Amino acid sequence: MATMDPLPLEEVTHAAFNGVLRALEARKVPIGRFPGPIIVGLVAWPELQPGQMFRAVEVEE
Amino acid sequence: MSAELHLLCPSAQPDMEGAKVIGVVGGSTEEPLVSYLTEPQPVSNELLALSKPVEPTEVFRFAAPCVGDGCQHFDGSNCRLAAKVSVTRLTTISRLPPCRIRPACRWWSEQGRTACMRCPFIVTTTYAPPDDLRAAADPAVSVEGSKARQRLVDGARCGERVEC
Repeated sequence: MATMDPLPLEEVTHAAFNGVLRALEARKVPIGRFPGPIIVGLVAWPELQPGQMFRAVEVEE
Repeated sequence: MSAELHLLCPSAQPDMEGAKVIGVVGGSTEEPLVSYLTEPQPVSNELLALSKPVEPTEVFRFAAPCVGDGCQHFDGSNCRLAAKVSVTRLTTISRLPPCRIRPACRWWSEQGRTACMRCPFIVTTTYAPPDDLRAAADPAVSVEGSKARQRLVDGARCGERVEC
């Protein structure tokens, strides 16, 4: 059985991002079909150090 | 208007009057798990935008005043969806979830703990529903039919959209 804690408002954005990934997986749609923030999030964010995000976005554009 | 008509639906649509965000669907595709907000939030464009490119109801759970006869799940006095969800074989949690709308929730009001223990596993719009949840969401399936269906083990059909 699972247990759960309430979700603070400051964590909603992060939780929603994970929720979008879960929803895309549920649709069985390849993530690559959705350009934009999802791609940046998947490809760039995990490898970035703080402060590097804007440089990565400029490269994307 | 009776007090019962003020009861909240915990699996509402964001464009319903008085809708609020009550949770975010996390977990996995196989076992989604709703995290309930410490305080329900009014629906805003900024919140809805967080769910792009999928539909808000795939990512968030919304609550809104029950529309009664305006809903295909309402039988004139009770919510059939709540009754069917309560008999599903969905995983249950070990204690009541930290949901802020419980005192006004129609599912709680009618089904009590059995609905609340399954509520965190409900995704309003999902393309990968468990079979028993698919049956629960089908207005054509009666509560009795849903109970009978739980006793059957039938094959999975994935990729079909279901609205709870």
